[in-house]
Amino acid sequence: MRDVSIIGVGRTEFSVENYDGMAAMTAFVPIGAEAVTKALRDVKNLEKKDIEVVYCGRSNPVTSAGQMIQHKLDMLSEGSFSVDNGVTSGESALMGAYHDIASGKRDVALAIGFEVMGPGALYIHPDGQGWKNRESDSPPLPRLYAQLARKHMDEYGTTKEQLATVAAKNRTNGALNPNAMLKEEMTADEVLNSGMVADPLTKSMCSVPASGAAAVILCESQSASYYNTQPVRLAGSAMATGKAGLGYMDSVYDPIVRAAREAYRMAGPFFSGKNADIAQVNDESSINEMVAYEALGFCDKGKSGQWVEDGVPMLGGALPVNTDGGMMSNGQPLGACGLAQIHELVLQLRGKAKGRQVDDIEYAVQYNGGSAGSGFCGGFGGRGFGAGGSYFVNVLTNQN
Amino acid sequence: MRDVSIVAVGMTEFRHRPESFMDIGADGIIQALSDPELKDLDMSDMEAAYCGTMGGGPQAGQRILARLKSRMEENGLEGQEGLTGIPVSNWENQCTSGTCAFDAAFRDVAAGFHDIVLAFGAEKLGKGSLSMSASGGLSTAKFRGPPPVPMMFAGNAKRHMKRFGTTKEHLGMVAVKSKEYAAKNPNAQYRNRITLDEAVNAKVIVDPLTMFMCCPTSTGGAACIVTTKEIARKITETPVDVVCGVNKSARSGIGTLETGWDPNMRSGREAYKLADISPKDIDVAQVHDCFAIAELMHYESFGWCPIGGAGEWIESGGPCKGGELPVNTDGGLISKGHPLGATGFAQLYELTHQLRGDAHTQVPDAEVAWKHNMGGGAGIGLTYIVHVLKRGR
Repeated sequence: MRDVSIIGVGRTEFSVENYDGMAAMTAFVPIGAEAVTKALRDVKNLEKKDIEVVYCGRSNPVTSAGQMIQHKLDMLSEGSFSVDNGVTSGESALMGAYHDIASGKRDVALAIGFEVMGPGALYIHPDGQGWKNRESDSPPLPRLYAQLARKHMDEYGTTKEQLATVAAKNRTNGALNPNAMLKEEMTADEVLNSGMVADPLTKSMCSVPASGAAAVILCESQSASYYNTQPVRLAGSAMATGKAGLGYMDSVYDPIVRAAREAYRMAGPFFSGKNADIAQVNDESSINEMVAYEALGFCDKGKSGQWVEDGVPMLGGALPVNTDGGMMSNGQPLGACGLAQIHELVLQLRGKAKGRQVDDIEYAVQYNGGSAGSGFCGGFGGRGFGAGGSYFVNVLTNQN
Repeated sequence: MRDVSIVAVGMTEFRHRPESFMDIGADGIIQALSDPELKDLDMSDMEAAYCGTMGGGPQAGQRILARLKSRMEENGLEGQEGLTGIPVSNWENQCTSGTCAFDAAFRDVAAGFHDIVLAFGAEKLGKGSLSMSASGGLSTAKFRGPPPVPMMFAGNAKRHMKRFGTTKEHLGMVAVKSKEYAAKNPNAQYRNRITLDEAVNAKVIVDPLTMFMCCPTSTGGAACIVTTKEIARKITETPVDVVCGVNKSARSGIGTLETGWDPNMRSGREAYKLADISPKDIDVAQVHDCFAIAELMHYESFGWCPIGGAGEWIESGGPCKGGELPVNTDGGLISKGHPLGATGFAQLYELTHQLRGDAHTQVPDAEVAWKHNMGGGAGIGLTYIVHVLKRGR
């Protein structure tokens, strides 16, 4: 297997739009094209026609999406694949590109992730066949996460102040990110008082669905510096789905732990969560982020609350997490959010994250995952909170 | 890159069925796990899984795998857990959704990420012609006017007839050949032989395409298991080697009729080069026969006859039983039906059995097989994907 590096990234500013029926079907085309155009501008010595294959990740089953974006950019002709994996659709597209280059089949590939989502909470059809957005006082996913938060608080003594601190961190970081959708700083108190959604989660402890796109251009590492003086190598990349039959808490942690273990093993025999200098993790709600700190091995199990209080994941701390403001500030377009996390880490590893740059970083960990679409349908009673779904961990580095 | 082989294939009957999408997907996997040539492997050995479907909904693969165990138990088999925690991803490219999932599995093993991988596909469609639902997803409908998908191909049929003198009888010959092969295939939706007269004079869908010249919508599931060439030889007497896979999209700015050839020619040529073969080396083939005109044009795109010469070639019996290069020896999409996510796997099923020597209408001594699948309509830039397979022993 060859090493693979990221040579170009691009993303749109995410937003919440209310596209009606027909417009929603094609709204993704200019958005996807914008992200790809920005990624192409991020590389030197590469023309559109040098892209050998396109992988397009999106959860909403819009057919031939990759080809439609290619057509818009006058890039049609080489193969195009579309892939879905819910919230990690973008990473699944990245995986396709990574496999092609690692195997030697291709030298240069493009991965796009996008989603067009309306205002309102995410509602998943009971048998999993699709989703939509609907305004709601009792949104289903935050309710599910609230239950997780309560169990975590019961078992480990996590507090609502700690949940609020995580959210305030992300919202404050978002104020430094020109691409963020929500750019106002917040304090932990303001987060606590933002209105209860599902106890103990307040409104500002949860991310919102949004529309947007992100794109990543990859090539094999040996020639990467021809295209970008600062290539970022994929040191490790792994994906797991949730096993059936685990107990509640086990099913939450298990797939993340397994994906992380495999990604870390690829990055080096002694690589662990403690080697991460910076990270982007799924922050669909504060508890999702805190569980991630533990599952990824940044801190011990159950100790994320104390870790937050010690200031470790803050911008000035030892392992800053979600320096771009996370999904809480950027919004969460299912197909694009994972690639947006990678976008931030690439900028950081290049030293180009103006205003929020973390110094002296070499290794970054990206984690995104969830099972909305498979495990969360209510039709899988007893299969565990995290069964099915998909959980991705990527390790990125600016080292050879 | 490592060498990859197929060690198991399976498919359900294709027909309209009341079971749910997840049941059907699970049934396809069960068929592959029950392949008598597959010794010593079961679901717990799978290290990754790839699912192909167009209309199955988000994370369809994970949902199908969640259903696997109970579906096996319902059918009196010892249940195997499908949600084992392995990586699962979901691939869509209209009619090539299944092939794209297979291709992803192939590349996974070729790259060295995993050794034993499951690929599967399924589709549940109602009766009627393909259409898009309001949310951009797949559905079927009865159209009052000409249904859009056959209409695109009928347009190309007319152009081909005008330019080269291809006749309605030539289109009818594709239909007759298809039913002749399907008569021996218990998994096909429509198996009654027809005469050329019946094919040509049947109910018109969109002139010049009659009912028998168009593939029916259908419901079905199918699957295969791939592994390295080395492992394959240890666990089965009948491995089928996957030599290469090539995927192209159509270019814009070329004519509608030309788009019926161009992307297929490009994927075909690259496949010939990668496999180091030429048309005369192919013993048996599957091409995407969504409509009879598409099949005729594929003969030309892949160089089995000259451009415009497909009518003459089928008249001479080239793709028919006993001919130079038998095509769609299981009845093709036209008689089997076309459940999009399962179709690519059904093609693999037939070609694997041909290369194993136990197909329903066996081509003697088949050693090299050509598998072609196409996604989308004539004139639209979609997916054109060719794989070359070789007998493993």
